[in-house]
Formats: sequence, C-alpha cells, structure tokens
Amino acid sequence: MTSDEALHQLAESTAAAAKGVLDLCVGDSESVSYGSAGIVSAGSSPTDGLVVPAVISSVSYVDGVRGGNVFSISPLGARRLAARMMGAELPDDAETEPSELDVSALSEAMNQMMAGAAGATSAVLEQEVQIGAPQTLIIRSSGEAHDLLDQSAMAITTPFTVFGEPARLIQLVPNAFIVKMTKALAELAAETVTDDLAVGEESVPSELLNDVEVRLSAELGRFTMGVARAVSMSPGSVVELEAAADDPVELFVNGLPYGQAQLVVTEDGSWGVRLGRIYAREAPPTLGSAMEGR
Amino acid sequence: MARVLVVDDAAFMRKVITDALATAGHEVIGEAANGVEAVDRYKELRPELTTLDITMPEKDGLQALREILSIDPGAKIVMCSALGQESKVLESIKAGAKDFIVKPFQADRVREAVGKALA
Repeated sequence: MTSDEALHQLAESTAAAAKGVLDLCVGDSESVSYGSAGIVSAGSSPTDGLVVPAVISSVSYVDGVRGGNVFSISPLGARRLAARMMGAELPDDAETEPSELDVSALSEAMNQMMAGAAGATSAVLEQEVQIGAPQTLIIRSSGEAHDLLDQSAMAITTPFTVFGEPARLIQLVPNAFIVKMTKALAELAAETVTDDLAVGEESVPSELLNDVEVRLSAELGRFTMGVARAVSMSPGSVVELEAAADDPVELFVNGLPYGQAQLVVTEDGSWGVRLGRIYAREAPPTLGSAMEGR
Repeated sequence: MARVLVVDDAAFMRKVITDALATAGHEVIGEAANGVEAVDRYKELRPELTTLDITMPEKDGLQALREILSIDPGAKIVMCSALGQESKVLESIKAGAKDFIVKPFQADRVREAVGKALA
C-alpha cells in the first residue's frame, strides 16, 4: 500500500459516503454522481480551474486526525440541491444568488456528508474521528478560494455533478494523516488476507506472510495397538511401525499435510529431511490426498 | 401538544424541524444556533422539549445536553445526529437524552421521536 493508493482509497470512500448522504437528502440516486479522484501535483492548487462564483463549504476534522474537506458547487447547483432538500421545484435561472437558506442547506448537506465520511475513516483507522461545524460562503474570485485552503497539505480532488451542475470535493490531507491511513489500510489488507486463507482462497500475496512463523514436523510412521498392549509396554519394548526403513516420511506444517521427504543425517549428526513431494504444487493440500500418499 | 426549543447551527435544519413539529401541532417557542445559546435559551424559556443538534460551533450538542440536564434533570431532549456519529449518540443517551434522530430524516421520524420523548 503506497501513500498515493491510500489517498485514492480515502478519496473514494469519502466520495462514496458523500454521494450516499446526498442521495438520501435529495431522495434519488441519479441526481448526484462523481468521477475519478486526482492527486494535486506539486506547484498546482486544488482550486485550479474552479469556476467562480461558487458556494464553498468546508469541514475540518477536529479529533482523531487533522485535515480538511471542502465542497465547492456552482450557485445554481447549490440552489437546486437546497430546493430538492426542501421538497421544492428545481430552479433553472443561473443568475439568482443563493439565499441564506440555500447556503444553510448546503452547509447542512456538507455536515452530513463529512460526518458519514468521518465514520468511514474512523472504521479504517480504528479510531474515533470527529468533525467540526461546517463553514459555508460564496466566493467570487479564484483568489478567494485559494486563500481559503491550506496549501501545505497534500490535496486530492474528486469531481461531482449535482443536478447537472459542476461540483468538486477537495480533501486536504496532512502527511501524518497519510502515514496513519497508509498503515491502517495495509493492516486491513493483511487481515483480509488472513480471512481469505481461513476460507481457503488461493490468491495469497506472499510478501504479507513473510514474517509468520510455522512449525514443520516429520512423521516416521504409525502403528495401531490395543490399550492392553499399550499399558503393558515397558522401557526397551520395540514397536514396529507400518513403514519400511527407506519409506518417505510425512511432513506437516502446523499440523497440516505438506509433503513427503527422505530422512537424512546432516553433516553435524542431526536428523534432516530431503524434500520429495510438496502437495500444494500438485493439487490442493487436503488431508485425504496426504493420507493416500502414505 | 408541547412547547419546543429547536437547536441547530443550520437555519435550514431549524426550518425543517420547525415545519415538521408544526404539522403535529407543537409550538416552537425558540431557536438556538449553538450550544451556548441553547443553554441560555433553555434557562430563559424552560421548554417542554428540546431538539439538539450534535455538531455545532462554540459548544457541541453533547456538552449542551449535559449542562441543560444539570440545570433541569427532568429536561426532555431529543438529539439530532448525522450518519457516522454513533458514539456521540450513545454518549448522549447514556447522559440522559430521551431519543435521537439521524439526519437526513423524514418529518414523520421527527414527530415520532418527539411524541415518544413526551410520553
């Protein structure tokens, strides 16, 4: 998981949460859509290309992580959103300024969008993330928009369309947040892999398992006897196993059948095994196939 | 029918809640836009019921809830939260709120929560 991947995942989950809330606010799932997020490159500003005037609403994280979210929308888009939230007809004239109630409606929508997004982020970070109250205003020049944003943070923008009008979600993400998010997402991915293994999935990114220790054991052979014989045995008794001296031994990894090997003596006098068959490379390692190999 | 104080930093939400309550015959006797105003208005108006937003400037809804309940332990308060604020909602209920509404909500849900809190 790279920091860019973490940023994109943050942008996607925030945009999805925002759309989910807006869908509920407007009562359908077609009026609001969003596109692919883009990381703002060095030397560029997240407000580049922003059409003004625009209604801008910003919400900061106040607890858990630091960072900010800004939603920009055309005045007509803000009025349409507010109208639908109030159950009114959609306005068509682009000249009328949003009223205080329109601005307040956008502010409330932003509050709900970012609360939903903070909830999603909290789940990833396994840490409570709280948001502050939204601040919403109408800007009339790109300079005003530029001055509103913390230009030192990484930024990622997601284009939205709201009732046919352009909108933009800008996320300002300090480095510490990116590091935290990247780590949390990597841990989440590792947990998912573990879950996948538990249900028998085959696609396992091996680099995630490199540090896991397993126990390899070798079984020379078996013999079945009655309890009476078992309790009557004494030191010096010999039990003949159901395996010839040159038969391969069975190998187990953490108790699971792994393969077969020849028993050898190493140069320093220890027992060793020379691998012969590895079941996983022949067929799915089931207990049945291992038993057949005896 | 009850005398209600509506607290939310968004004028839009105050209007939505006020309209919903009016259709059920309740009377909105006052509004406040943050937690500080909420406590002041509560002392002044002594409403039978208060709706309280959670995320507000100056003082959030949870702090205002605790202060109002310390002034009037019998205060009937319904919290308004957004999605993703479950822990704050839980804290509010533990602190003594009667019910909660999750935004965005329908007018019926507002009337139901208020009716339940007043019962």
